[in-house]
Amino acid sequence: MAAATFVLISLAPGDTAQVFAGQQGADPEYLALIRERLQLDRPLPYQVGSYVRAAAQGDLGFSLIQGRPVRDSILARLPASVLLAATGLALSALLGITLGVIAAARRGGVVDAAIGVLSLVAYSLPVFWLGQLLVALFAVRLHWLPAGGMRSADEPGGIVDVVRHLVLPATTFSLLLAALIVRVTRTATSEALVEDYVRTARAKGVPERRVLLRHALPNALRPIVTVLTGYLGIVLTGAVLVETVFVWPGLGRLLYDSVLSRDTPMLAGLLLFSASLVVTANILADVLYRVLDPRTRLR
Amino acid sequence: MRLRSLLGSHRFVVGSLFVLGVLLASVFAAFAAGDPFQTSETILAGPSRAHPFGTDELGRDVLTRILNGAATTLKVAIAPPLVAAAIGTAVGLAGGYFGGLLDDILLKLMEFTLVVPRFLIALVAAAFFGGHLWLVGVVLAATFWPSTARLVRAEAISLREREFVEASRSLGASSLWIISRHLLLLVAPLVAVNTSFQAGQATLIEAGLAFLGVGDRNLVSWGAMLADAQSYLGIAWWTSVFPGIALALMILALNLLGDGLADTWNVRGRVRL
Amino acid sequence: MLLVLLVLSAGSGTAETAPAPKPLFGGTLVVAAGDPGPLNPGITSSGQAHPVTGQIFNGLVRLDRYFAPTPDLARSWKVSNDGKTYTFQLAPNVRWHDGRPFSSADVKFTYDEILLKLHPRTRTLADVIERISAPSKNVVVFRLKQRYAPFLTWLDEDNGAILPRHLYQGTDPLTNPVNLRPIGTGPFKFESYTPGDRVVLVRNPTYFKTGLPRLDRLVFRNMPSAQAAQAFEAGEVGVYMFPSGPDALRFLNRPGVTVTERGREGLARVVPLILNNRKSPFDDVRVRRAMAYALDIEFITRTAYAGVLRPAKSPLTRFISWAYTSKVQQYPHNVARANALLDETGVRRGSNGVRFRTSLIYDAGFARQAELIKAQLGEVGIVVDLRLMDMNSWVRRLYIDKDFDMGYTNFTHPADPDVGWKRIYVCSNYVKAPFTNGSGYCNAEVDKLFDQAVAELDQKKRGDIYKKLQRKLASDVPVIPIGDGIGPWIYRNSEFRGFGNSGSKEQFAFGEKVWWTKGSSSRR
Repeated sequence: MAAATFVLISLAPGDTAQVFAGQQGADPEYLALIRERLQLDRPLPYQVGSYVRAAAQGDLGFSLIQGRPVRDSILARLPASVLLAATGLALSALLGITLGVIAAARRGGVVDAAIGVLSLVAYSLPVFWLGQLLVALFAVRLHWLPAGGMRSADEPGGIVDVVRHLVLPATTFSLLLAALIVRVTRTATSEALVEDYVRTARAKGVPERRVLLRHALPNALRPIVTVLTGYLGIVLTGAVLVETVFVWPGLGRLLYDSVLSRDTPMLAGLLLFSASLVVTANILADVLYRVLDPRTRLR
Repeated sequence: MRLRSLLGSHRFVVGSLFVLGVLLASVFAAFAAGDPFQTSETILAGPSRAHPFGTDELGRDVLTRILNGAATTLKVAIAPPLVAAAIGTAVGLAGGYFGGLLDDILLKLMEFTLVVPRFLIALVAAAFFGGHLWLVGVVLAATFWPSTARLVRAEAISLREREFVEASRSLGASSLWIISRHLLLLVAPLVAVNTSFQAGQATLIEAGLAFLGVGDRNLVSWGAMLADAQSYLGIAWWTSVFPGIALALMILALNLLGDGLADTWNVRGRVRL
Repeated sequence: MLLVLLVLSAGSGTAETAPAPKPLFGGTLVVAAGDPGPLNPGITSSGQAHPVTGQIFNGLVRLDRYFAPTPDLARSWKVSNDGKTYTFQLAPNVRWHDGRPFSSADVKFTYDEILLKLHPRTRTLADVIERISAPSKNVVVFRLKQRYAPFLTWLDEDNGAILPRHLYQGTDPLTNPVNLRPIGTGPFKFESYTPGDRVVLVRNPTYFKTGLPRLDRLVFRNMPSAQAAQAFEAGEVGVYMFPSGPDALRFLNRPGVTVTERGREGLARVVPLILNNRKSPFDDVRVRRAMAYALDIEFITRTAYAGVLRPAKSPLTRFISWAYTSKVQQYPHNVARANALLDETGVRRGSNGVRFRTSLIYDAGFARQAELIKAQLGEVGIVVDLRLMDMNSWVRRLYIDKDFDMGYTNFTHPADPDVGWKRIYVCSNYVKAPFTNGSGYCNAEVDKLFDQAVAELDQKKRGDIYKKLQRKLASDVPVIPIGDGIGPWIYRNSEFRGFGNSGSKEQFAFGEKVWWTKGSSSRR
């Protein structure tokens, strides 16, 4: 995986030395010097070999563009990414499951249809356009919320301040995911509602609300976990667009910048990190399936 | 009979009508609408009789550009998902039906391509090699097919044990015959639904790339229009609102289409958006 | 509605018009800028890094509005009669932010070990400098190999920031962790840097220029255009460093806000459309002239640059006023003329109206310009294929592989024509390296004039040589000049005063003199 990433990036035309040189007309010797520092002058197999060897020991190399080791750069951006992702995931789970259950309870009715249409519309909104509109409305017009960034310019720090900055990106981010969860929840819960064990419960006189939440919803948890963990894997680096629109100082933005500056070690490190997250998320999903399995729970 | 039940699905009808409309718009644009790159002295003018959707910062008619952008969107929305559907179905059926080593290899390949988000792959490719539309198309097709294959494979595995397959086999039917006669037809609805959702995704990804500034500027792209509009949000809402609506409606239409198909063929829940 | 051409230089409502009030102390100035990256000014010419490092470090000199050197770390200097020895008297009692004393040894070390080896621009000075010596604690002597007129313009913070020897000696300056917590001599001390978010600087209470700086804190926030404009509008930000054209227009004539190019003169340049002169049909000067007539640079600057650049009237920027002339061949927009010239050269229209097909490579920030060039050349039958490239591939295509027809991107001309401008035109600079002579234009007379100019220490005579060069280059059009200027920056003059006093690169040095109108009359 590491080797493949590195090779792919290295094969592309151009290299970091030119970017690092800037726009000022660096001479060939300067480029040669920087290439030597970056070992760009070595044959590709050698570069790949030394990269993989180092990566195996947790050393992802040094980014001249960022001026610090790749690992440090990633760690520095991680908290912002995690904050946005966690808020977004939690918000979308809350919103999605609630609306999904309501839709299932009223399936076939007006409420169900409305939720269905809304979720489809939400799912179809391009995040960058939605972000633009939210900024234009809440930041530019109404001045209710900041347009971007994570903390205010002056005297940063308070939780309230961060939360204010978080509202728009987290909303934008979670809307699409919430739409997805609504659909999954509704489908799975509706299916469960016609199962035998639910009928039995109803026949025993269990109140409808309890039937929904205790008997039908658990059935929907598995697909919801699939959706959420599926997102977890790609969320940190996948938030490029949202982070761009809202200038959120997270990993997505770092990735985009690294693409533009052809920062090979940074990019390889990020993709590697992203890939390992996907793997972790899959493992997490397996664990959750086991924990959430109604059969093990009911015992 | 199928067609009638399809037409009974509002979602399908609305979705396909809109996609058809976009198709007509792009045909119209190619023959009748003006040059989308034609500049004028009328800069950032609001909607009027002459320019129903206003003009952009280079004095170009926003409506003309939206109509011309339809072709770009359609190319990306149609070609890569269809290619992916073909490859994915073939690979998925083969893997699912035959199993064994072939299946193992396919499975590994699928896992690998599913690890990195396709938007990132497309972003890196477009940024490094120039955002030609065909390149974006190739990347999309290359990253769409594994998920199609996975879907088809799972279906094929459950189908191959079914009685009618066993029966055909005992009657001496060749594998190829079974696959093409039975399995293909049975997975077709699933693939159709999946493909229309992928078309929506493809539209979104093309626009996203153009929004980040790595799209093809020889063509009009709704995403690029939105990117350009970013600087004028405060003073010229029409440069952002109209292309945004066009884009959102297009994606919505493709999703409605997929939804309608899923409802009709009762494969809902098996194909995720 | 936007048909306003910016008249920026003198500035609308700059602080100078009123009788200067007494500066006050304290306050925080928030600056909307870019993400600076490593904060070592000795190894980068990045326009994102220097607005920050310029507040932390000093050079030997600073350049005034007209590019004349004024004292910074060097209190005074003398030039020998042969024009080859420069002796600098350094300011006494200067201390690094960590308390260690600054001395001539730092200057010598910085040049010998960092600037002349690793600064992308300044390392070319190594060909000019014979040796640097530090005869005493406060004296530095530069001995040059030849007379070199632009020498002093190299010594500012942008090109010649002085770094602490005690922290860099024996280390690799490219990877030294000090680059992320810099120690300088400047008006502000480094406090923190959160990549992608902000840099915080605090007042240096022992700054060697007594009484300065007046502000307590400087905060640089990483904000792309759309957010910066909104934050500025909301009053969260006092300085908007790199406004987009539309934003500049938006704040023009806003009370309490200054939109000005003053303080950015040192970054001004002419942005050219580069033509591959070694490739047909661009090897024919008549084709190049025809294209110059076909391009409506007035429209391009007014729309794609939103009026912040002016249509170029010469290949050299008007801000280098001692060398500039607009009395050169002009190419006003004239489609008929362009068509006639092209017909004359035999590049005729085919049956489909096409004369020839060509391509334009450009990088992501210049999509609008590229689209306009395509549309305007299309009018005279030249079909342009637009090829977007990232900066890196662009550089490789144009400068290394020389595999292109036309190219467009941003450019800078630092301060002296010999430094930023000459490289585009001289034959000896047609090499495989970024931002050199990309067009492949080669003219012995031009090369000779540039050589004469650099050895001419009399500015008036030197200026005359550059005027001759502009006439020659305007007539040959190896590249087509599009926009001239740099674009403004924006600040709140209602809350912050003292701008306009820190030279031609004030954008890198404003922190020293700026003060807050709500501050207190004395230091606590």
